[in-house]
Amino acid sequence: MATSISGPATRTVAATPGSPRAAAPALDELRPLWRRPVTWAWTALFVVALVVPFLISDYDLFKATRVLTVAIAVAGLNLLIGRAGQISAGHGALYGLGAYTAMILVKELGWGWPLAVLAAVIVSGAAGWLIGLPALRVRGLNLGLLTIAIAAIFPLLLSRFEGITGGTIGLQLAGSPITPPGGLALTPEQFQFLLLVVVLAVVLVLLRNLTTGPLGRAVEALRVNPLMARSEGVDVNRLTLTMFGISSAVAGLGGALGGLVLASTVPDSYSMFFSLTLLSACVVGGSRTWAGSLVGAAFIVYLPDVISQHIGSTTGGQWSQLVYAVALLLTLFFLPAGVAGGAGRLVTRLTGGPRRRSKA
Amino acid sequence: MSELLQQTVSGLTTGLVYAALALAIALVFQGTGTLNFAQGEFATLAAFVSFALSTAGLSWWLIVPVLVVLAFVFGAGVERLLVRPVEGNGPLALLTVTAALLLGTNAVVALIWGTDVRSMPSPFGDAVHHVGPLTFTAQALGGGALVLTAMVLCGAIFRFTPLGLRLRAVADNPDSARLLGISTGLMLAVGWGIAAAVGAVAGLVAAPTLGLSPELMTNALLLALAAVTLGGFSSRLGAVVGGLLIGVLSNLASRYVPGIGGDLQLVVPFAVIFLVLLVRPQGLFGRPSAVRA
Amino acid sequence: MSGLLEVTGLTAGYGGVRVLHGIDIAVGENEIVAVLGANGAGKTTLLRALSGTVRSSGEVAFAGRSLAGTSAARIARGGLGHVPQGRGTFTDLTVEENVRLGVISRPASTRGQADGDVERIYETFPVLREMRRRPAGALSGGQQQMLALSRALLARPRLLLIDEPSLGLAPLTSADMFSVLARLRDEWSLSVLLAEQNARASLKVADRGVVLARGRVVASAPAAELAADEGLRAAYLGESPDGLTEVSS
Repeated sequence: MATSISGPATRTVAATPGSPRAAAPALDELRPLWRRPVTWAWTALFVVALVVPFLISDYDLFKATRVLTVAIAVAGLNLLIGRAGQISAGHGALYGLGAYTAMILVKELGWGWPLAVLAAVIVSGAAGWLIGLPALRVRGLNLGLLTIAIAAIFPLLLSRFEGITGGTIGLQLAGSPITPPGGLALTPEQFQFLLLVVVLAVVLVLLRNLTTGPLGRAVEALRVNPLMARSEGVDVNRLTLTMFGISSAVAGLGGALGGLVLASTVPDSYSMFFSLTLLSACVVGGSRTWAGSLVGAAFIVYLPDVISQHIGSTTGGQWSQLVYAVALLLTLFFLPAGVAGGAGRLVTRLTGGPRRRSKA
Repeated sequence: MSELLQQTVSGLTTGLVYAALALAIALVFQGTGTLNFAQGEFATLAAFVSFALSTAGLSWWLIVPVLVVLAFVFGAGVERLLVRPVEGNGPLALLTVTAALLLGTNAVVALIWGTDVRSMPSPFGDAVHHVGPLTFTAQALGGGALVLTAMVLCGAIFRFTPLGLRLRAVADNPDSARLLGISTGLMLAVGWGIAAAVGAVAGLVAAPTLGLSPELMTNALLLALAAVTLGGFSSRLGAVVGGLLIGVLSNLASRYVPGIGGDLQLVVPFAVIFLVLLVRPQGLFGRPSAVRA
Repeated sequence: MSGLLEVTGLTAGYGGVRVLHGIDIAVGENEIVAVLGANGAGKTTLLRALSGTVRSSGEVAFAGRSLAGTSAARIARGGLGHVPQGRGTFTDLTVEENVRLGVISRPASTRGQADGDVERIYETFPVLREMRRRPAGALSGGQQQMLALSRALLARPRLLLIDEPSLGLAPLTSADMFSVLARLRDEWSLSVLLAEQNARASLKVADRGVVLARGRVVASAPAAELAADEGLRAAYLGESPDGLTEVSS
């Protein structure tokens, strides 16, 4: 921090860097998938996650499931912020839209939950596309502008259209429709957790492939240098719009599953502050690492509990909010790659890093 | 007819608050190149501080100047300590900092003063004045005059003083400004300070009407963002005119459009932002070149 | 006579790429020094390093004081003006406001002469007076160049760095610009460090010339001597021996 406030020259000087950060992961990508430590870490984590439900209480599992649903939304935000270089201050609303869509379809129309979740994904993706349409015609802060407006009016719309949304009381089901199919000796919590582990894993793999494939390279060009990307024939605006649509759909997926697991949705859960909290999770976790979505989600789900235990529940929410804000600032100042990104780099440094002369 | 006139005029008086907040947002944008999502929360904090000062027994004639000075120092300090470190890290980092400032300021206000809505007495009394067919509360008249004065003063600083010329030079071309010996860092901090001071007056005037709570300026932020979008981010005058238009528009909509009343007034600014971005992204008074990447 | 500006071993660059490799240069009081060189020789970088807008290392003494670690704004306040290449004007401000910016940036000791100086500027560049209520962005390239120069002069620098004043100007306007420069030096008691590709025109007004190639000084001599050295000009300035300048931009 001290070095960057050194003087007015910072503006011109700081305009050039940014590229060395992007260069680091490229080395690792030279190796075959199975030889990368990252692959092994993820596989180990996945295996552990499959065992966890049989070791901890259903209450703890329920919390952990919430982390996973939020992590899906944060992963969507990672795609937008870390890859497409745009910001959304309204992903909480898109998460909420997914939750409400799924709940209405299950509760009012009696749909099965898988179909309702699918519909919620489509609705959220379409909503994102619609929001992005005017905002992403020119590059700049317009998406941030429009999404914070969405974040602010979404809960008001929910309270207002009582007929469909249940107003301020919201929508509740007697129990979660996501139950283990007959013959499977699992508690609902165990099944929900395992389901979410699989869904999150699929989402992360899809997003990863999306960002490393040809589309991903175009997106990377877009983030690093939009002008250059345009000159190389990338339709910048359309690509950004696609990214935001996908990001919104993913947020809706997390919301739909989150709402159905909880079997309850209320407008207060999807306030502007929730949207900004998701933003905090994304940046604190590390918007350019997929593991960051898990770290960030765990941070915002568990922190209020920890704080309530120590301070009491009356002001717990506000203290949490303050901690999100401070964590967000500290991350931006000292750890621009986020917690997961920073940890990843530390590991790379300790293990000597991917060798430059690797035979790939 | 006189009903329509009355609605328009009350729209203008509430619009003054949005105009001032919009002006603050435009000032920060022109200098630093980011939207300050926390501008509304800064105004809320100022309103609470003025409340604390008045409970401490300070007279209103003193509270206004004290508040303006405090807000200026606060705004400039925030720029220097919290925004400067990410200057040059791109628009995303800057915008994220202001999001963090929104979260943080809101939390601090709620922790210090609680979340209940308090009524704040109007410094201008409860009298109601009649001018022809129109009625004004003393708060609307006095508050309106106060906000207007703040905006005119701010405009005069930018238009007529050497400081204002330097501020505009930095907003226009920071590199050339530096070559003239202008300290761009100092000017950015001063810009944030002036913005916070103008916003503080908006918060002070809004509080007696809306009731003092941590959510005091949450809706106003959205209305002000719509105002700046409508007027154009590159124009100070545009931001003010945009604020007045938004005030009138949302007042008329909530009165005459069925279904849009109370909280749902916020659909108006949202629709304005959506439409302006679709049809004329640079706003009414802005130049296309001013849309920054 | 000790020089107004004394530079020894100046290195500078962008990111990891070094552009200047140890430059020695000096400018005396009331002297015009032309820095010559082909595109990419490091002329612009040299000027930027001197005005503190590009990081550099080496010894730079201006009016007897070291500029090491001094910010660009402070260097400018110390009396070192810089008219950057291309658009240095504040396009959203009016011509008059641009002029006023120069005036308010001058040292306190010269405030008293401000009105006379502005009048002198408007006499030198009458077109600026005609256009004074127009936004600077509405001026032509040559007019903007005059405005940038005027603004820098009104700040009353002791040394003025001028980067490619002839760039993008029609030949006739360009010739005007050079004749004006010679006059300005006397009227405003200035020293000038002029970076130019147009060697012939700039050597006509300069006292001395310094030739840069690939970030190093390859020649430094009185202007007349350099102007006569056709071999040097052919080797480093992209001029053919018959004296015609190759169009490189």
